[in-house]
Amino acid sequence: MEETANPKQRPDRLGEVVEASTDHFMVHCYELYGAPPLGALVRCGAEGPVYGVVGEVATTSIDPGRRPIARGRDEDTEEDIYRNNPQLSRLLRTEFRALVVGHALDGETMRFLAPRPPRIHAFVYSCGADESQAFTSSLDFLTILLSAPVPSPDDVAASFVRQASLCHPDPHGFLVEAGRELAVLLGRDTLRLSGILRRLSP
Amino acid sequence: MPLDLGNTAMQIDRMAAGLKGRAYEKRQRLERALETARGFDPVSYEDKRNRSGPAAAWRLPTASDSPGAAYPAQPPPDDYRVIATDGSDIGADRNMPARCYVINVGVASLTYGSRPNAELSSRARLYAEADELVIRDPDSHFRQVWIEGNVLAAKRMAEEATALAETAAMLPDDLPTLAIMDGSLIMIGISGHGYEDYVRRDLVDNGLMEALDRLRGLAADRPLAVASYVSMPAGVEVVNALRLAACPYHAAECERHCRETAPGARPCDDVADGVVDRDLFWDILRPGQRSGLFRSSSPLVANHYSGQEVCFFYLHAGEEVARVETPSWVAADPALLDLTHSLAFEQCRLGQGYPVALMEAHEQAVISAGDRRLFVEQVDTALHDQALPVRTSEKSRSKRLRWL
Repeated sequence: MEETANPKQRPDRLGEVVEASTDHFMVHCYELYGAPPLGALVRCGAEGPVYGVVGEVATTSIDPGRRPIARGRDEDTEEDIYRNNPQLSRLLRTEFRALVVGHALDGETMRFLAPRPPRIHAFVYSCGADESQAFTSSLDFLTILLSAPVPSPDDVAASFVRQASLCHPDPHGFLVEAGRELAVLLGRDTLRLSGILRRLSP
Repeated sequence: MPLDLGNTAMQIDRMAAGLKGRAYEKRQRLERALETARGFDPVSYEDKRNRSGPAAAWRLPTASDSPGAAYPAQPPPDDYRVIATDGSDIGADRNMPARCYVINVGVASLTYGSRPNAELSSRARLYAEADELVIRDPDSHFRQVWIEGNVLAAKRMAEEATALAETAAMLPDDLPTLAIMDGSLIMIGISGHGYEDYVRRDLVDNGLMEALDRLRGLAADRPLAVASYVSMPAGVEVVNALRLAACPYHAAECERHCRETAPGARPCDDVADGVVDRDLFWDILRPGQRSGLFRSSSPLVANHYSGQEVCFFYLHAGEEVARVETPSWVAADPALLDLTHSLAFEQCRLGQGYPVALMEAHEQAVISAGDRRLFVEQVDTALHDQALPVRTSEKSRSKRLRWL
């Protein structure tokens, strides 16, 4: 697929909010398959930004009435299908649902729901290492991820912790600290806790 | 019960039985048509066509080639572009509170090869001014026709051609390009006696032809082919040519020789009755092949297309035989003709039987039932906001309410 350079588009700008509520926002990505991985930390809105964790990613037809069909019988590679059907890049879209985990207020980071959802069409950015490190200096918001209404909240929480650990100078220490936090939150649900901890193991 | 399906089911069964009964005879006629096509001599045909002139009851195309000829498609260029337009409309409805209509034109521009890309868009325009709702005779302001029905369809076609020309003009001239429209290049709906000449001048001379002239101008300094694509064509012009070839008389003076003979029993009916061009070419062509070139003898083209005559060939698109029409300047240029043939077939291959660019243009143009309803609501709201009376017909109201 051809990449079109857009000077107005910063490389960390992922897409725009197309649906928003106080606990989540849906993002339409500018690039097909351009969603960040499950568990990634993202930020939207310029003033009083809202932070979210990617909880679900989907690529679907823009028109619910037009399902994609198999096109590759005579093609050598998957890439050939896209090259020979350039319209696909306009007819498919990648979206992700971000679970709201915090926001900034008067320069201070709050690790709980924002008082208002982001605006529709708010730009959504991926968070860099420094921003992720700063946000995850406290894991107060993990309970939001564990109770999120997504297909597999444990996978989201584990992916988030694993990615966040890489932004810290001592990734192992961060994982241990996150494990402790999870143990407190999940209490006696040892089956669930061990499942998440297994996902955190290298 | 709006439609008695039990009743229609029996009628459908009878229809199917009738078709089956006539299938053998039709196949026999088709075999004779194929035989005539294989022995067709274009020179003798043209001689007889000229001899017959207007005495022939059938519309006879110019045939520079035998209907039995078949040409393979060239492979498409490495890099190329296909642009397509299609349109739909919301016609003026006297049951609505304001008289107006909408034309929505969908545009698809698909680039293939080393830098694949796609641009899909639509442009909707509302026509509501007094002089936009009618076509007036410039020689007499007492004569006018409302833009509705066939006239609206023709105006929509002119808008599609204009959008095609505008799109082509905005694109870089670096790639071989096929600009393609849906349906026939001939505005068949307004070609009959029901419309006066000023209507045709407005829609053809000042509409469609202006756009085609612009495309022709663009093609002067870039590899640009222009065509229209007819899926499941019902044309019989080539079959008419076979009628003439099978006519036993020196000239086809139909009124003189066959006036007393019942339809189906005339000598030329042996190769033609019930046969359409696509039946013929389904047997003559293999997938990807095109037929020879023919030139339409439509009087509308002769009188209003300012020298851009409409040529056509049939294409075996894989799942069906389609008709591809081009202006004569495309047909006369072997490179542009090859490009048209090659890209039309490749588009059908990629679109699983139908040109993908046309399919996407259609998807951009289509106005759903929901959008139509919302449009009427928008009109109602806008009139209400301006404190104008929102009157609708009782018929329209009763259709919406549907009480018991």
